Amino acid sequence: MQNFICFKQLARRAATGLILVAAASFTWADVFVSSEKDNAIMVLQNDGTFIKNIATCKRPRHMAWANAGKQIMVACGDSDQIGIVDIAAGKQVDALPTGESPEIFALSPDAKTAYVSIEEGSQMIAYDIASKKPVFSVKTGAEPEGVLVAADGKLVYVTSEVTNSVHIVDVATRKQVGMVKVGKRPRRFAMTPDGSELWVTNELGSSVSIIDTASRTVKDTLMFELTGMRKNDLSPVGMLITPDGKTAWVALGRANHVAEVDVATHSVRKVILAGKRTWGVGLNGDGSRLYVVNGLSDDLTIVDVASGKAIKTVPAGRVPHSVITN
Amino acid sequence: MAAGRSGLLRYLWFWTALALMPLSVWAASWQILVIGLRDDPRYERKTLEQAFIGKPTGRPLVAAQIAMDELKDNLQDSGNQLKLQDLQWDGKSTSELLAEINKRKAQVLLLDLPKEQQKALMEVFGKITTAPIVFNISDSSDELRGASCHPHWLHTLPSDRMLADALAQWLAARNWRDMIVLVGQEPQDQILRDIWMASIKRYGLKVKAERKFVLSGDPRQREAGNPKLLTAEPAYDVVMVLDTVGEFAKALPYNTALPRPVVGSGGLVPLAWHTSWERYGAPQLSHRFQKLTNKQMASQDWASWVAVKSFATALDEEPKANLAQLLHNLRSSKTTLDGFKGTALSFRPWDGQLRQGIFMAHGQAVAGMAPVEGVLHPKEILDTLGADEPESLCKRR
Repeated sequence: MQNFICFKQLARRAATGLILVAAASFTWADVFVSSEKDNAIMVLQNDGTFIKNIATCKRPRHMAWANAGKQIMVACGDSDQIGIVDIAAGKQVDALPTGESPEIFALSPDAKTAYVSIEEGSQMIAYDIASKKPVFSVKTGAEPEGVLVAADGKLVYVTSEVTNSVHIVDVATRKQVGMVKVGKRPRRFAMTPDGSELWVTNELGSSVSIIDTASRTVKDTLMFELTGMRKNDLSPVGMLITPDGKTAWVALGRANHVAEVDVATHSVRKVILAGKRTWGVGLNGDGSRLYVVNGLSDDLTIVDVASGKAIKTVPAGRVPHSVITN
Repeated sequence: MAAGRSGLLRYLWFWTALALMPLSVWAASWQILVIGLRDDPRYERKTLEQAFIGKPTGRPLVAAQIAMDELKDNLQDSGNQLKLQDLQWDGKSTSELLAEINKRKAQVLLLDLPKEQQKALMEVFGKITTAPIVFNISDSSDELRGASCHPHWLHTLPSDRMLADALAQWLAARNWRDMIVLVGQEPQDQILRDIWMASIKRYGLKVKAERKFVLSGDPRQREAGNPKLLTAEPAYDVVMVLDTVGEFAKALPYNTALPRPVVGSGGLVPLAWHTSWERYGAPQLSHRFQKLTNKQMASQDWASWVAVKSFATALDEEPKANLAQLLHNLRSSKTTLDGFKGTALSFRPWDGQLRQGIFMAHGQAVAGMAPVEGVLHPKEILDTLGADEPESLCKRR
């Protein structure tokens, strides 16, 4: 039975592949979207064709790859756990219990520790994934959100939406070693591959604060502007920096656009119209396609990176939150 | 190790600096005083039990405390500290109250007072040169923002006109334009009526009939007391009920002659806050409040929370600022803040009113938010709600 499904899927993908291969460099990528109100991860082909829903714990939000791409870890805000979803099995197979209402997490480079922002408790808790036990916790400002682990695993960065700051936590001493004030309602992080710059989206600041990680100061603030829109309409949240470190993609929230930003010059190259309240962003393996989750129109926009155009928009469940690809 | 040493040095430096600093310069402790009214009729047990939509559910102290805690660490790092005190005033002698305010060294006041008591206090502040920053957190009268305004007076609860404009936008966007308007007999009902009529005019709604209602089962007064007779004709899209007491409005939905929605003080009601709103971090605030009080957060609680949050935000932005500078930053819209309504909020320079989105709620849920999509404004979309700069009656800006 399992073989049969795989074969059928393979055949379907091959067919899609044949159609698409002429248009773009095709990879066998699947797209995974967490959907807060469906309690599921939606699985799509890379062209947006719906494959299936995988039931998860309640209110799934941030996702990360685990176990060499065989599993997805997903933070479930209403189940107080991080669900472990096995792709091949097509279901949630395990869970890591967390504090109340986890939203975003990041993994240590050795993938042994999960650092989780616990919204209700105003803290960042580190969990040992194997034993499922909390290792330590650090108090943050109210409503911690974005979490990022430095490439060497020594520092963890956490945003606090309410106190407009980024907490810097030293993993060795398990203590906060710094705090950087950024813009209003800081949400998510991205780091340049060389680790020199930490970018933070400020949802109500309509900006990205760029932190110099060495001096722990904000060295630049990238303000977004869009013709015909006011500052208040631009509410950036989701963001990523490409592996080559040249481009950042920033979802502009209620402005319904996603911005392509030149990392070297901190300037916007172009903006692309997606759906209502652009939220999470994800890039496929070869970087040719950007997936933009639209939280208010409950859909996913697929952007062709080379041409800078949205190819199409497909349904993505109720209140989609994040997207990852393999 | 290095981090630990520098931390210790900073610690020592801090206390040395503190010891050397003359006491008069040290303004790190900010006294926030909540002033309530002794035997306030709004908080009588019976009134609270009736739980009319849009009315307060209790004194707004917990909400203020939540806001204090949110930015506590930030403020502490910059050498500032907020302290919250509560004062119950008998509502009579403003000079006694003033003496008490001075005695407690209060620099920020949160007025949990009815309109007349707020006005009386602000008149006293009009005569003295140094006044605290005053937040009106509990009265929606436009008069306080208009003719009776004061440069030190900021209003976090939306004005009646803002609420009226919000609902009028909502109705216009749906093209539910034809309405029967039912107005209560209280003098405040008449004031409310005039405000709502201005909104109705602005958004092109049509009053097919306007009637006064009475709360009475008396058959001799049935023309004004019976909801079916009041709403029988002419044809209409909605019944708008304007009732500052709330009892008649509460009972009106589903008691109309025609199957039409009730809006205004009952049915679909414009509110500053509603716990069913699920976006922009709102549920987290509502949860925090619920955990501490076992109650649903009401509009007045939000107004109290956002008042403290405004002051704390201004202080966080400029930790060394004095009271006058903080007031200036707030009043000039320089300070913007996150009220968990999705956009950055600020105070209108012309009347001290906090700009904000308004929820359209009906008991169980929020139907939507104003400003509604499609409404335009040359400068700031939130200024489509309430008195905009050219029409403000505030002279003392």
